[in-house]
Amino acid sequence: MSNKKYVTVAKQGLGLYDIASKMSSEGEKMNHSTVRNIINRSFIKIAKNISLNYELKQTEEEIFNIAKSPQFQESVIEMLKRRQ
Amino acid sequence: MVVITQLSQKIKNNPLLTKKQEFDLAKKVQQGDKDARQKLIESNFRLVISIAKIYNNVNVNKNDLIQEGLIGLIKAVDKFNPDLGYRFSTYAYNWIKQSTLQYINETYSGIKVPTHSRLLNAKIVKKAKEIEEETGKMPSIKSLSAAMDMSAKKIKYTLKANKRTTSIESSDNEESNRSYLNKIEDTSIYSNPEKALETKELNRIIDESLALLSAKEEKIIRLRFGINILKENKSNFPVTEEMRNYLVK
Repeated sequence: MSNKKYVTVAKQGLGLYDIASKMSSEGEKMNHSTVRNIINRSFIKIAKNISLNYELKQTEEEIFNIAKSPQFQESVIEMLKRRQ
Repeated sequence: MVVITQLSQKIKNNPLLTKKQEFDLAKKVQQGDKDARQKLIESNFRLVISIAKIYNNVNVNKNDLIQEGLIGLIKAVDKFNPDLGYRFSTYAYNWIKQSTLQYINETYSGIKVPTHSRLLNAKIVKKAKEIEEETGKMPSIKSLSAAMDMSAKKIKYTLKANKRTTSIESSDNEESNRSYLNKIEDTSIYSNPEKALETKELNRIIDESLALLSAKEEKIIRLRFGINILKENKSNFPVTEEMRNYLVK
């Protein structure tokens, strides 16, 4: 596994500002920091659930670190792609 | 190498024939003398072996190759006309070579390719090697076509038709019973049911975790990472009356 420091956003992926404006235009008013918080929260939610299922008893901090790791995020993205 | 051992014994017992002996025996063969026929065949076994040695580097059964050469030799003995004045070996050489090449052609790969195509392929490969030695890089089909004065389509087709194929049930070593099939890793769930179960369980957990995301969260992640948005999620963001009024302002 590569030890990357960031997740590569696909070419067609949108920036935080673009997402915020798109969501706002669709009726969910939000700004770019809300988008960022939602993304972070989503990954934490997934990491927490996996940790619970495997009974790993990790601390909030450990879960946060897993959730923000590019490797973990890439895996989640892969799974989402598969669900298409 | 049972055949070679048997032939070596016969070769020892049958020294090379002189032109006169050869002529006399061939004449007798023409008259239907079976012993003379046998003698002429046995005296030329070394010719079969020497031709078979030319194709030593071809990946076919050597015993079978010699046997095929012997069939060519028998044909040559039956068709040889000593009155034409040639030595028997001159005449038999082409018969033996033809039988040997035909056998190689039939068994070299699982797919039979006409001999002329096989020979053309050999010429192309030889030319390609020559160009590679000169220039230091593999020539393209286009440059081969120019060098051989042949259409690129024909070269491409010949090379494609003569691609080497190997049976999955054959083995790379005659002494080993392990076929290629046995060497391929079994990646099915039956090879490691424990791992398969683990993967299945992990997939279930990840699926379950992904299901925890609300439609909004999933949509934002999909937008962020350029993943297509699921159709059913499109209707999950109804614009409320309040929001519409806000946006209109």
